[in-house]
Amino acid sequence: MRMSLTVVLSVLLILFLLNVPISFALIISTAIYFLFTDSYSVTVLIQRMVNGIESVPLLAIIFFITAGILMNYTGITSRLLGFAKVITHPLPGSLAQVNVVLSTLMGGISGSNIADAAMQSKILVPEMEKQGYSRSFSSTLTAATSLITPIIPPGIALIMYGYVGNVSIGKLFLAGILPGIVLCLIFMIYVHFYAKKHNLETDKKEKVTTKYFFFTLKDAILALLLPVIIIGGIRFGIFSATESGAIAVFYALFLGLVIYREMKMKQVVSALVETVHTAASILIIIAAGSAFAWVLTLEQIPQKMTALMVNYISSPVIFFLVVLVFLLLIGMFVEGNVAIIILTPLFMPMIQQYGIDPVHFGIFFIICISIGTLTPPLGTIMFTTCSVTGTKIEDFIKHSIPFLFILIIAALLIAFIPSISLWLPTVLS
Amino acid sequence: MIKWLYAIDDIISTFALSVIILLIGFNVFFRFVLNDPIPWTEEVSLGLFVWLVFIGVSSAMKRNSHIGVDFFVNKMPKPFRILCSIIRAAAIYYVLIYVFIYIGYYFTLQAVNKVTPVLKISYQLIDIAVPLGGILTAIHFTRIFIHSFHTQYRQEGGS
Repeated sequence: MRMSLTVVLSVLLILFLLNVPISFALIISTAIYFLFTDSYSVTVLIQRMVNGIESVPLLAIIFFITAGILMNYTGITSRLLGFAKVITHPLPGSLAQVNVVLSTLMGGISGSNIADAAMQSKILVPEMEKQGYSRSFSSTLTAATSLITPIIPPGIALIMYGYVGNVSIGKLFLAGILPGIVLCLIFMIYVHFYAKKHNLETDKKEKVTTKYFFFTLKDAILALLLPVIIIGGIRFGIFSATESGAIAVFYALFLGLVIYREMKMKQVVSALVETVHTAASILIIIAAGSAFAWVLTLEQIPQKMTALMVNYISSPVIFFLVVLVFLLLIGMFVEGNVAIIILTPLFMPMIQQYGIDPVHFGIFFIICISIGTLTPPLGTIMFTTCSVTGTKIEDFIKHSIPFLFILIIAALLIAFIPSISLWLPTVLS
Repeated sequence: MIKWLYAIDDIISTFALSVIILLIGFNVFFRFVLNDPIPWTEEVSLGLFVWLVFIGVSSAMKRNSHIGVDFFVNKMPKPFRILCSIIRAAAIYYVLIYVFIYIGYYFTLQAVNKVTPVLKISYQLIDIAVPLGGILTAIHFTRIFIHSFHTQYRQEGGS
């Protein structure tokens, strides 16, 4: 049996290197496993895939992808931008602060960071350049702050982790809020000192009138309400985490068609089509991943790896550090969602051994794995922002170093101060 | 007609998505406001979800949005890259034809007595999405694959 597993894993690795789509590579390596075993018919492969998909929590993924894409057409972005400008107005480097705050606010309505990074690269980076920021700093800031988006609820990564690891999605949503805010604050502090040092937007500015503040707040409040509705609804048992996704879709339609009236029916249809192919490419990986995970479980891989880990590492502190380094490396080569699907079943028995709360670990996991999106060779966010803003990759890398430090510090804070993630879920449930 | 056939995967999966959203959304309303949840919401949504995913694989293939890693292949010399793209195509066809279409078809046949709990819909109606998705994806992939060879050939002819 050991032989079969070696073949399965080598085939997976080779196909992966040959640019075969991950989902297809997972299916082939699982199919190969069936050549070695007589106990199961090969139709079990399809059965595992279909069963993996037939799950209510997964519906949340398509809902939140739909809601996020629809939100782009509602006109909510420009309103949030206006609000972010008002609240950061008195600070030095206010436009860079806007970049940080807007990512945090967008986290509450959209679940994916690539969309956020692309949007801000388009609308904020040119404006920042006009105010004297260098293009590469503006791009790296945009890319780094977009990592706040996935951990603020609702987030696709949170749902994915919750589904694969069998962890309450409602709790994960609550747990993401404070770490998101912590990240936002750390970035704001950095921007503050950066702006002071480089003398960016440091002159005394006119005060924003209270009237104008409330005017922009009124515009933005409907957007800020969505995470409140989602979390409140789940908390008070009005709807489940999955259903909250459908509510978010209706909310986006309501904003776009009734309140702001900027959305057209044609845009609704194209948003749905966009959702379908984006979602299908992720969900087929989940389907293939659950067939593959079944093989791993059959071979008791998670248990064996846990035994190995516990053998060498006794303290949870060292475990967190090892996982951090491991995820930073994996994140450089593997897309975040894919890593969550494949690695979560391996981590689950380990964190149980170390007595780590799965909700706490989930937030840490998602942050660590996202850091790789900012680094070569496969940094999706890096490529997105660089291609939109026209920044050279070398400049991006040079400017990204302080941000990588910040993110690693944030990951360590979240690892070693569990209450940042666990306080809200404990208090509110 | 051709245009309609070309978009058939998008039409089916977008339809499935819309119905799922409406069903789950209305069910919250029915349960919370009218206190009378629709008992078959879950099974119909999940059945449509299987259709959405497996037919959606074709939509994603059409737009080349399946997630893969082209970093290593792009670093290789050209003859090796062509070899890679042939192996890659073989791997994709293996999944589509053998796994999705062939095994998927047998899997569908086996489900003859399996029905959903409330509406007693035959599981064959749900599982057929697997071979069907395989066929649609294979058609689109073949088109893309031939096209990519054409453009490569033309590039070489031009230089």
